[in-house]
Amino acid sequence: MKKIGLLAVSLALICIAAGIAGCTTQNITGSAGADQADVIRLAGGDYGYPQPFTIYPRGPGSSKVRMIFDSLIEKDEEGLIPWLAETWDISPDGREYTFHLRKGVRWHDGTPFTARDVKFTHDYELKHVPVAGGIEAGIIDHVQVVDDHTVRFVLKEPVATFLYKMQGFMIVPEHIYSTVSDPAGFLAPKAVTGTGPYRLSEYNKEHGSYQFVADAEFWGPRPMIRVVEFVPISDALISFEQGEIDFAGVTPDTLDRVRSNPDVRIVQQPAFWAYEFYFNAKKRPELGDKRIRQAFAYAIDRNELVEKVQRGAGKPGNMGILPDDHIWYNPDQPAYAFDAAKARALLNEAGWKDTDGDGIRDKDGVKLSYTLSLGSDEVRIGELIKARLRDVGIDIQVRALEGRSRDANLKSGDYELLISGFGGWGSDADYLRTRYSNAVTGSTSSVASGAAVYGYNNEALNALAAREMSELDDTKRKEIVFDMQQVLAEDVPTIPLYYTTSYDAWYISRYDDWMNMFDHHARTHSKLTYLERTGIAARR
Amino acid sequence: MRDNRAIISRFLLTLMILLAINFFLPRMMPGDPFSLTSSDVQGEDIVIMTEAQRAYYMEYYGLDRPLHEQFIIYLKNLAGGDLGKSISNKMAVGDMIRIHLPWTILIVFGATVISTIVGVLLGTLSARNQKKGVDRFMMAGLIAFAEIPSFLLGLILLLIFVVQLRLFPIAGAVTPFADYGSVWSMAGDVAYHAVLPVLTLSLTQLTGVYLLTRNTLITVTTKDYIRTARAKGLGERVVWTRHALRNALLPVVTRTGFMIGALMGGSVLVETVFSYPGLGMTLRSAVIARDYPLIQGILLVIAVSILICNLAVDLIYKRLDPRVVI
Repeated sequence: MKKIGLLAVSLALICIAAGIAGCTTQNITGSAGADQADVIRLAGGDYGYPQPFTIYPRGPGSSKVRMIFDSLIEKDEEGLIPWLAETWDISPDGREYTFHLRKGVRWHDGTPFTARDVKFTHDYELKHVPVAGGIEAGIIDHVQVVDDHTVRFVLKEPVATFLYKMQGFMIVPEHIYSTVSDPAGFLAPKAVTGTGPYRLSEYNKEHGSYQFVADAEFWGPRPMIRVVEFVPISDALISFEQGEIDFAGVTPDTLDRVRSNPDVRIVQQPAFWAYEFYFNAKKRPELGDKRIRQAFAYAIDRNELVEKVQRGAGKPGNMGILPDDHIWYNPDQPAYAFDAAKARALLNEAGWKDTDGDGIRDKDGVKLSYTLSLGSDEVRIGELIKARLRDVGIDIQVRALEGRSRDANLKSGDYELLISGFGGWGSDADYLRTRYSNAVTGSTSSVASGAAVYGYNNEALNALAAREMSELDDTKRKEIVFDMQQVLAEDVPTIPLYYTTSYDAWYISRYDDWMNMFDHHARTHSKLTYLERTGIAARR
Repeated sequence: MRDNRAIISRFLLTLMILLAINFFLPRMMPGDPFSLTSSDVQGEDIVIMTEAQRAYYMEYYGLDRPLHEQFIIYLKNLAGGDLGKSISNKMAVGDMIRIHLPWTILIVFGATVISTIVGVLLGTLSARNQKKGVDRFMMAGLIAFAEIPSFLLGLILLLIFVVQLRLFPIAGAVTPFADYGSVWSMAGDVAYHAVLPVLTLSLTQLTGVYLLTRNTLITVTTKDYIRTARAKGLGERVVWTRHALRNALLPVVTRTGFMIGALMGGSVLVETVFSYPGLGMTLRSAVIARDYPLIQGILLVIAVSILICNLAVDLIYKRLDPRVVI
């Protein structure tokens, strides 16, 4: 994907050469745009046949599954909303969730949707694990069908995030999948029979194009776009400028190119994608000392990274981990503004001094000299960090790796310091537990690259995490999450370097009702973005 | 015909070694198809699998077995014509190749023809005007061209012809969702989309053909038989085409065979620049996804086609030049 960057640079050059670089910024006021459309074209690419077992783990495959299949619970800008389940009851011990399903829902082939489909999907996915759209193993004890429109999930133990997990649980039809023994190879047209607002009318794997047509008999809110097409493109910005697609993600340095068009609306995405900087205390025991980690946090100028690498399109990381845009972000936490003097003081206090005058601190014969592993696109970040750390007496060698090699090291713990970028920072704050709690509490285990791998252990955090996982009252759980952020910010288990803020641009006259989900950055991935929204939130 | 048998047995031996390399090399790369934890592009969505999911899929694709067992299974399946199933695409590798190979053949073949014809023409022109302005200008220009990497060349063409002039489509091999009235309009659309990839690939090989033609021609023209031909009173035209060019073309034929290999390799980059759905782009994504069966399958196809081309060159060469003993 370097070619995109190169392309962007070259584009900028051409832009200057052609003398159109001086495009002036034009403010777009909230003029009313189109609230419905016949055909909308979006950036395509092959992400697999859109059913839960055949999409690819990389890229927006699961959002295409969501256009065809429904879950019991959906999400909007603010939180979870009822979807195939109209209401639900939770038993006082938090182990039984009884969902009352919407009546009159039919599969695209006309067969009625019932509670048996829900139970079937769960049982089937125990044997056949979906790529996305499943519930991780070990949470649910069993599912029982109470009647045609009532289904009960019995959990092994209370899990606070159960409802949140349910919004990703896509129900597949029993009458079709029950005879399929290899769903990962099930590519028949029947495989994409769902209850959702769209039907797949064309999929071309070779060219990476999809065409979804609104289902006239959809049970829910009216689809506002009749046909949604995903077409192959090589550069989103050029395709957008040429009108081949109606919506595009735009990087800040190319923003001016579309800003001059009064028909284009530009909105910043929430910052839910970030680079994380890992310390491996198992390889380098001194990194287990929180003063050293704090010194790193003071010494690395995160604002500089945002300015120089990201051209301002990012927000410096919070040591409490959650991004500012997260619904449960706690603004009251220790901040680590760039301060080399403080970093030096902390290192001195921990006993690391430059005894041999080579500019690198040492103690008992060990030098503060590290290898920093990162992906080849992150070298600039690595070099800036290296320069800043050098100022406080820490030596860094940047080691650029191909993406999957870096991932392999991240999982096996074969690194000293490492940078990895990934999304999902807007998800339920339970990830503070799965990523940073060393005690594997209960059935929803920690992530494979989490605290246990790099040797981070904080009893206070482990205790909070255990409480967080079983606290069913969201108000109380939010308080615990606030406390967890304070503990983490004090302790700096890892450093989120910065959260990226990209921009979305779309033609107001084509379709203007794009919407975000509360936990996700991409507007085109939301199912509701394509539907009439009046009254949906009222049912919350 | 003994010679031919020797050629074929050498061919088979090479093939066996290739099969082993194709199998073990991808598996020696760090990581596996299900350990994705970081995005490769900023903002990219990925599904980070739980250990249970990962274990399930490793078993499903037989990747939990010992390597030698996997290799034997692979060879057995291959003997039965089964290339296995792509992990990232959930599709038979044979079908994947069937879909994507024609596009690569199209642009590689197009580039071979164009670069050979244009290269020979320019080389002849240059040789006939040796040391004159045209010759010097072309030498300098084409050698400079050859130094531009193919992806950069592709980007430059993309910027000029697509962004600035808007003459050609930006990506893909056909117009999406197009409804063609006739075979001709479809062929036209395909050709229209293939222009820039073919042009880029041709330009990467053009200089080689040009230099070879020019230099061999210059060498050949100093030979005695050319002098004899001229002494016989033959016209310059006949001397050049019948006597000089015909002899000078022998190395060009050889080169064309080897060129296919370079073009197949070059197509990986060029197809990526133009999002052209050939084998090269598929190989690139297969490597990123650690899709072992797909990598094996594509490498095998590329290797076999290069082998076949070399074999064909050997056989054709023998006919063109009876003196050659292989």
